[in-house]
Amino acid sequence: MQNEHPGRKPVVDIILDEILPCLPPGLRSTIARLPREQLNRVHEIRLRTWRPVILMAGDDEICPIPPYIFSDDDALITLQLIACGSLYAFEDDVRQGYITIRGGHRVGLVGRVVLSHGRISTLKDISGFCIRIAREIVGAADSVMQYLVKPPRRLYHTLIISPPRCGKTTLLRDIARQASDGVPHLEFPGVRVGIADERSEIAACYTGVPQTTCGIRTDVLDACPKAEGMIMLIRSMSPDVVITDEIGREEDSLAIREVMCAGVSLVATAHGGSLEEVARRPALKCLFEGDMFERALILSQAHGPGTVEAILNARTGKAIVSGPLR
Amino acid sequence: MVKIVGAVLVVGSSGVIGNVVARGYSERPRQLAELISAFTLLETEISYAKTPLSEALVRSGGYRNCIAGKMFEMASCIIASGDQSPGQAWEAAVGYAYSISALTSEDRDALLAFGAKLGSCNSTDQLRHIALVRERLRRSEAQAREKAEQTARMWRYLGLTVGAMITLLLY
Repeated sequence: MQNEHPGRKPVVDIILDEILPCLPPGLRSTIARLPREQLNRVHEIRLRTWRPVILMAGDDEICPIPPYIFSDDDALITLQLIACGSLYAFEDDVRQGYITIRGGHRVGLVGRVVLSHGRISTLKDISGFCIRIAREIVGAADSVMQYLVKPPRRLYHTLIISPPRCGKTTLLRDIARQASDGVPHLEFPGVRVGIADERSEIAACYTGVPQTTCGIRTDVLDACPKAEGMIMLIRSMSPDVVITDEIGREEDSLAIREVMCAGVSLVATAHGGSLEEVARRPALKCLFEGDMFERALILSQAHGPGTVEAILNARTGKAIVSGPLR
Repeated sequence: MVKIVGAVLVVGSSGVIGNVVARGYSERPRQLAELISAFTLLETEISYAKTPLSEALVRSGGYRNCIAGKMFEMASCIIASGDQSPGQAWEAAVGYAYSISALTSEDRDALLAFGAKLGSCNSTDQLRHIALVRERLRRSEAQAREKAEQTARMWRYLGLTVGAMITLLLY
């Protein structure tokens, strides 16, 4: 089912082309030997020192046979390969607990935290990796665009809400692309889109060039803290729509208010199970009290990642559309 | 007349030979100076732009035909291939540079010491290592330049003197 979508690159090809070069040679051949149909379902690879490598496919676990035990040397090599042999270039990312690799795949890290003046200064003895495979799906937002377009040239201020791994970023990326390129059947012309891409996941920039299809009128501020990034974009690129991922800090809320009050549409994502849950989050509370968002999209895994459970009017909480959309 | 022309030719050619040998002695300080400036550029790439190592090395190596350019480019290619760690890549590049340059084993050791922590520490430590290797190279360069000046002068004089001696013997 997953590969029927015409805009989707098969996961197996993503793993072979983009993920395997970041793994130690022994593990590369172990994973490459797995059947293609199994690899096609993988969305996460879990590496833990001195434990077997596990590939996650939905809720199923795939363990190569015989098991590949991930040694501490493997962990060192993996870290070097992920960081392109330049750990200094990813200092801030390591401090946050993840590195985004070429292709927009996020590698979560665990190890021993080093504190300096009570704040995390870095991670050392890195012993666990969680490689999340990012999949670009051109057309993922086809079913929702009609509810987000505010004629003639605007989008509603929208918050996409879901627990992790439900396809928030994939949907957000395609909304950015469609807003930027235009949606002819909705008579929506392409508008200027600015992406504040703090973790390089939306546009997956490599040396400043987006690796994903994010639209011809899209400007990407890569690896910039989103609160500052949103304001910088407004000042420097005069976007019609600002896109950002995973809001949740106080400063994000302040920046979002700035954006919305500057006459710019905002589309963002947040972790949560429902609109009420997100509205209760301390840092985001003020946005809902001020009725800043106009639309809320609730995603789930019910029919696979990217299932839209409901589209709500974020101010009243009433459903505009309910029932799974894909 | 023929004798005078011959004498001038003999003295002139020995002088040229002396000069060529003398120039060989100035190679090492020149190559060390190239390396020092390459490390300064690498420092900028790491501290300011945080450019990943393989790209930073290519950008800071300078001209491809100078020793620093060749060495940095080789290390960059090996790192980019992902087959070896930055430390191993650096070791291979230093070995290659040592074999085709006027660098001494002392210079090689300084360069190898820099590679031990290459790419596996934070930018502060990386910059500290660059400062350390540059300081060692700078000291070597000062010594090499002084030595080269003395030796080069000796070879230049020696060339002319030998030319004059041959002329006197033949006369």
